[in-house]
Amino acid sequence: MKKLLEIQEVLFCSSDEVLLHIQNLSFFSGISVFLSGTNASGKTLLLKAIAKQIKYKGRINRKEKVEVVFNSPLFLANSVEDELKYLLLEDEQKKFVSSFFKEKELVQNPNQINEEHKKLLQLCKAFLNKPSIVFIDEVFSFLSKENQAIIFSYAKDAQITLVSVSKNIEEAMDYDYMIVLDKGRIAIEGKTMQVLQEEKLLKRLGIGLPFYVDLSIQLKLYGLIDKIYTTKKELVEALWK
Amino acid sequence: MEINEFVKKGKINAFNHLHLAPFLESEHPSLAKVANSYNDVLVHDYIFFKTSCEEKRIKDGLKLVALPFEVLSKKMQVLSRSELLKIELSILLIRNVDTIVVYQFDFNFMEKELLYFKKLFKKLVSKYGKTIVLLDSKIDFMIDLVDRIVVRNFKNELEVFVNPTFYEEHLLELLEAPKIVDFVNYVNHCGKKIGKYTDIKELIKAIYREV
Repeated sequence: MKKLLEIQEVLFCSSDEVLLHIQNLSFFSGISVFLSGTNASGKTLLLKAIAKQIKYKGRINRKEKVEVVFNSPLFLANSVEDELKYLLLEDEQKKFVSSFFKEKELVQNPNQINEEHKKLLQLCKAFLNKPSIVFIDEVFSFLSKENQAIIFSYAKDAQITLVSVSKNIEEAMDYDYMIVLDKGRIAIEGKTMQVLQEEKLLKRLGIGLPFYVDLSIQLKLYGLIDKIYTTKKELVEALWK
Repeated sequence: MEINEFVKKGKINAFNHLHLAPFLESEHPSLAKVANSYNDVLVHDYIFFKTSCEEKRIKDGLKLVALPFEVLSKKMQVLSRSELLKIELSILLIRNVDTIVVYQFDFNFMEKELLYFKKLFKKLVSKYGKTIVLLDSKIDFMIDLVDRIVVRNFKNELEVFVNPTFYEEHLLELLEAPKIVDFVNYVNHCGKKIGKYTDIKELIKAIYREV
């Protein structure tokens, strides 16, 4: 496992309030990460620090090429095609773009396309830059399941490590590792299923649990099942075996 | 497209298709975009710039969206997306607009806040006669909230469901069911008749009785 990015003692304050304080955090190749947290927990601030958009104290060591995709896109070119022009080099990349944009859509003004396509265009731009790791801020919630699957598949083939920042806890199941921020600090981190079993902490923070994990934990308390299930089929089979 | 004909005044309307946003936003103030380009501006100055209202009304607006007054002295740059959205909502409330378009609202807030906003939207409609338009690709947030949901059917026409129950077969043919509805339908489909629920606690009781 290769270390792609390392954060050490990063501190960002406004007036006398600490908004972000990450003591030690590393991201590794091939380990996808779901970064969640309460409102104003510092998720987007952390991404802004990684993207060098804010001045912070401490050190962020980018060992490989990093891309950050924010939620609010602004495009400068006059067409989708122009926005991507300098990046489209290989057939595989063109195929990736064509899975989201039909030929006639490539000539549209990127600031006037629908919200899902804006997000897809941002993702295309980030992925085609051939980064080792991409941080994505609340973007997947806007995408259809089909388009999410294409993004995951491309990232896997291109060996791009994904870090998704989101409040939508249902997304967590798609990632290997999970980090939860609270008041600018890491509240808990670990393998996704381990973190999700910290039911009390997650509920206290107001994050909640994915539906099937929540249901499983509660049914387990009643002694109706003995482990956590993540799909309806498995859960129903376990309940009525 | 005469999309606004589908918006019933004084009700909570929901549209399940995000690409309708530009048509709705052309007519009504929307919460689709948050202020990203006012980095060094104080929240107080931003709200005053947008509303030209006195301090008291600004504070009333913040109170309605459950933001503390201390936020007024912060810079826009340090606010989270959810705080920015709350500020945009407070501006629309201070301006006393008739119709508010809310875009992908539930992704931006935690569960407790969503419960608060459900109550607020219901109050804005019942007490102040406002019209709320929710535009969302997922319908979980809409359960127990909306009066009408507008969905595009297989003929590519917009179809209106009044007081939707979310267990209506035809509605579920047209959109992705909330997780709890999907699970209950699957259980019933497997021959275990446990009834229909939208609350997880009630569902657990029903499973306990059945297993």
